[in-house]
Amino acid sequence: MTGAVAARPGAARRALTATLAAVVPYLVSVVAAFVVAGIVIAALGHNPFVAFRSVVTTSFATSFGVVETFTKWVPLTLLALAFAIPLGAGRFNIGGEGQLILGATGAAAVGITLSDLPMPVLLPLVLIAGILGGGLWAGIAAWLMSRFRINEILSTVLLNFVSFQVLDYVASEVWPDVGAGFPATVKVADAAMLPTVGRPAMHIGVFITAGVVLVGALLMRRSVPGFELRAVGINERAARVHGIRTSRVAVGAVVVGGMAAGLSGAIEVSGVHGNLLEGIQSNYLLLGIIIGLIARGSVVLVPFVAFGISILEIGASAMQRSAQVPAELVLIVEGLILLFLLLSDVLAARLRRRRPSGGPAAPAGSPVPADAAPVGLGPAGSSGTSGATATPVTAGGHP
Amino acid sequence: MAQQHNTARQQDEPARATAGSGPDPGAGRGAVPTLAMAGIEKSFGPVRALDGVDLTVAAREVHGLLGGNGAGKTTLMNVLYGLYAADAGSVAIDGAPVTIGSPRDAIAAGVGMVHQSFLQVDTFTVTENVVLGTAAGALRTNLAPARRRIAELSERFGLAVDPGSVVGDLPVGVRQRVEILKALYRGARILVLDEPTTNLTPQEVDALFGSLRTIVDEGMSVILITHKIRETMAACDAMTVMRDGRRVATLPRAATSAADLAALMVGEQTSLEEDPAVLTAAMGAAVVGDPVPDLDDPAADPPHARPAEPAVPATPVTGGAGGVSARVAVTALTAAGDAGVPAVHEVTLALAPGEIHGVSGVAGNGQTELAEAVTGVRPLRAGSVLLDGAELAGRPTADWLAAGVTYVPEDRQRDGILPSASIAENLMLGGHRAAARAGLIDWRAARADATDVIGEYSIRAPGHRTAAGQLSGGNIQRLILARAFRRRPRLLVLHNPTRGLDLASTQFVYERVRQAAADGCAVLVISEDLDEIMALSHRISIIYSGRLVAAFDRGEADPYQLGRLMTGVAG
Amino acid sequence: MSEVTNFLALVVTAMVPYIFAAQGTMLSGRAGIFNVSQEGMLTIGAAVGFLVSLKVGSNGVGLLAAGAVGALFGLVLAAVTTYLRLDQFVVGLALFFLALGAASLLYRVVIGVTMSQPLIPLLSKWRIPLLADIPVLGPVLFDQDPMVYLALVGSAALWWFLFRTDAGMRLRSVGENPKAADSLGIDVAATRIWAGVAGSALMAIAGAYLPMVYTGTYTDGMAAGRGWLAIALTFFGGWRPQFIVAGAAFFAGMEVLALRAQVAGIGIPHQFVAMLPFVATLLVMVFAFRWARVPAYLGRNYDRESRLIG
Repeated sequence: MTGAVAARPGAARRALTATLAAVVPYLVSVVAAFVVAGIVIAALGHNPFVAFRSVVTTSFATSFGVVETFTKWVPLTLLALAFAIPLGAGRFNIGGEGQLILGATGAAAVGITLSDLPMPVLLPLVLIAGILGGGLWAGIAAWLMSRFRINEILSTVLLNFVSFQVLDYVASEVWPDVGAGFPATVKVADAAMLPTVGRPAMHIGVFITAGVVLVGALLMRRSVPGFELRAVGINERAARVHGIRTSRVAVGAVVVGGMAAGLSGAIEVSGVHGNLLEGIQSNYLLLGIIIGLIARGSVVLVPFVAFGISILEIGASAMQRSAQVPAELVLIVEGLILLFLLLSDVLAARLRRRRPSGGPAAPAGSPVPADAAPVGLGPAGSSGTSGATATPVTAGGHP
Repeated sequence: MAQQHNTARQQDEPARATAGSGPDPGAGRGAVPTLAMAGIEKSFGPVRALDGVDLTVAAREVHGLLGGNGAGKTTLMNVLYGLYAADAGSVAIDGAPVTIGSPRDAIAAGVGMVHQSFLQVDTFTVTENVVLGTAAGALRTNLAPARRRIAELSERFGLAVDPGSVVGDLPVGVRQRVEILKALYRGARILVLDEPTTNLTPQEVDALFGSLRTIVDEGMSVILITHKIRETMAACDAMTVMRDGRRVATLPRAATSAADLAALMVGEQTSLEEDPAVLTAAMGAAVVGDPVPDLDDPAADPPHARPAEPAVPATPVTGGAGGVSARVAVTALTAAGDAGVPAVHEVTLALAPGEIHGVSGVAGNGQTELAEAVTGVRPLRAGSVLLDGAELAGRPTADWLAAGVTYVPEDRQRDGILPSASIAENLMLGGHRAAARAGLIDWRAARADATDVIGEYSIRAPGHRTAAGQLSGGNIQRLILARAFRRRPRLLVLHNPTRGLDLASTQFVYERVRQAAADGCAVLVISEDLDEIMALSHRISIIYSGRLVAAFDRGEADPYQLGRLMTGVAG
Repeated sequence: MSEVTNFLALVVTAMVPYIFAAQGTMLSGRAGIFNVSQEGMLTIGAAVGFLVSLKVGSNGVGLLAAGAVGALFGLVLAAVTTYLRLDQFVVGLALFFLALGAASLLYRVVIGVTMSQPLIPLLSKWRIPLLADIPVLGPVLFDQDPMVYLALVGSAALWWFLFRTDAGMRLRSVGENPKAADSLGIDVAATRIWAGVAGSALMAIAGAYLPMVYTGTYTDGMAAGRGWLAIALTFFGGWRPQFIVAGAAFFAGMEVLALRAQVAGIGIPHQFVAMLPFVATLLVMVFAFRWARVPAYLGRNYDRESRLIG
């Protein structure tokens, strides 16, 4: 897209303006969030600069930090995709952790029961089982959504709580590792483990995830389903009037999102832990949602935002060790970045409006990329005010 | 109907006599005006909607506010009602300057407004809607006195409603009366009505104008926003013409004519000769072939009281009339509304290639459901739709599109466009499967194509990447039509295609529709604007309660007969 | 006390957080604000309620403090959605994260990492004379802590307010058709703000109740999905206070039943029993979403000067 623009004379400056318009709100939000966090840290009697130095540098100070950061990047990216892809169709998938757990359960089940198979057969099977597990779990919510018009926010969240019990049952009753002291299964076969590269070892799930991101971004921008997803997200009624089977698109988006989460569950089992254990979902759901929202639902932006958040997360535990600042602070920082980003959009829209002629980039200056979601992240008044954007909740039981 | 109208006028006469000050609008001009707005300015972003507008309304006067779409009439009244904050200007009521910052201020100053889309809470009763916001206290006052007062007001002004019914269940005409009652209940002395006759039958229009006359006779003033010259001439004592956010002229009715008003409204730049149908429709002069100068003498032409011609016998709609020559054959089509209740019953229609068939009716009689059913958007309960002999019923919407069925929906924002997507993407919508190769869409070609379309259809936009939602109403419709015509449709269905458009855009739509018909496309125009139907169609059907109750050939229909059919009075 | 009476008394206690959280959701929603930060509000309410009770020595003050903090979150949600017209779901989710982080951080900062957790006294029962002596009904309804009475009486008051007063009618009109309300001089922004504030305050109070009646202390994740269930309950209750109370009995019954069955050990793995409230809610929603009539403007922001094109 940018290539076509830059080819024309005079368009380069417009592209630059658009890029700046897209990047500046991020910078402002991050800085503002850190300022607020710094004040909190200082108020707690710690040195904010010491704290921030360990947050920012830990990931790059050692090769161990780099590997750790990339390893964390995998579930964050996949869970953010699990949220962002359905968001493209205007659906909120808050069930990423349930889908991750079921994916991990499927992967562990295959890795344990089919342990005799050779690696070239077993490992793909483990990953596929994870993808199917996540897809099926999301499929329940998608089915309830399309068949009974049950709000997907609720159904996906409730299924998370069900999945915790599924995990507990599988880890303490079906294949329990009795010596673990907490609910955990026995280890999967060695042939079910992802190969690693380098030293310290990094599992190749990182490359698998990178591949998923690349293919996903291409499909979102160029493919027919990508366009239909976007159309449904912007205006479901208009999409239906123009021959798009909206219910099918929405169901597909939720299921594909579940598959991404399921894949991350499989990678956690076969790349990180080697078994299914209680708490395998960590806080990836929350982080995935935050990343998806900060990236404004753009599949292209998700991996980059995920990398930034992954640096923050790795740095947070180091900060707790070095500066005695509670790591919980990082969740607040992330929430603040999101909130400030939303506010900066409003500010940018107001500034644009004040400019007399709007400038050449006025309509194109919207920082929302081509495949971004229709949540109200654009200029104020772009969503919810015209009534053109159908809110997913009001679709429930109301004519 | 004419008779009913006359009785209304006869009742008016004694009221005027007792009122004393006389109905002559010229007399009120010298005294302190009820309303004086001066130098009102209002901009939306870079768009200047009002540019130093003055408006003076005398007591006991029905004042017409006349202009095309985008002239600023409604914006001016929204400023008066405190919905928009003016950038500059002053408002005085009875000579005393007032500051109106919110609807609350406006109500306190005695301004009441009846909006085009009714501002009512559907789940509340008539009484609740009327009293809403009037009591300042936290506790509910007893509703019984309010109910009595509403009954008394509706009696006095001829606005029949049942105070206990839930407004969501009421027909349009009654809901409008509720709106007027809301304003009167609040003691409004200046009543503003925004395009009040849209969706009303001629009979209901007469009743409304009768009520307005009673209202001004009691000493209040009425401002009537309209783009229909005939209505202004029929109901108003004086009128202000607006164009492009400016006041062009203010004239007493006696000193002007329909043709003068039309010239003022349209301005110099548009040649009126280009399409008389557009002007005819704009003026609310319904009869095709009825020359414009007929309206010249307003005094001899009271509201819709032209001598009733002998009723044209309604031709029954016959099934499969088209036979072999039919391009489209709709047979016994039945479809349900959103609530699952049947909304379209046994509709049978045949369209030859090049035929424009108009369907007219009062809003909410199944038009939307019919439009969606014949375009494959809404599933059919029963019946068949044949396009060039091929059965489309029961197939997914995408198949209908592929077969050459094109739909220009009534609600352009909701059903027609993806507001935050670019013009290029919006042009792709619906044709994206056909345009894709190996499942991938060539956006580079699509963008080049969009640039051509913008030029060809004179869409006012900076470029193909402009979001469709940022275009004006007329340009959105151009975009939708461009998308429709570029698919070379075989059946084109348009629903209220020119609602809210200015004259130039209306003319554009008519030209394109006629061009499509000339190219052999079968066109179905569904419109609540009877004038539009009569101006465009070769054949006219009337829809009532989801059924086509009568059909006429062009020129054999009389608006009063159609009005009776539209309301189910005659069958 | 018989087994049945005991069970019912536990159900009534368990109803309280559901009632507060769902009535809060309902109240905001009736003015058009769809809050999805319930789980976060419950969590921050639990943390603040516990910490303030511990430091001040009064559960009442703890409840009030929790309400005040909830109100603050509600103010942010209502203000940025009303004045800046940010998306309600997105802001709701953002506040959910912020509240989770803030709750966890507050506890860490005030208490730190300790071997044994500090405890606050549980709410004492207020036995209502005479009424409490009625068999079964007495101990179930009239020998409870004051929050139980407040939840029931407050729900009745909410019903009266919404459907029998002018202010309530105005509030509902804002959630149904803000443009109509605005045109009649009703202050849409102010109505939404205070409904949003009051709604979130109720949710936080629901959270503060948890340490005061169950554990005596705060732990991360102690809301345990009740916030999300409260949203389901609000739909289930058709956005009406009286049906929300009835629905809360069902949700609380499921919760107590699951706990009981786990303790008693009824032959099926306890995990499946623990799923019960969530699975039952999903099943119930299949029916609830059919007939729930949501406020027409729920989740949408109102812009007076939006020019609808066309």
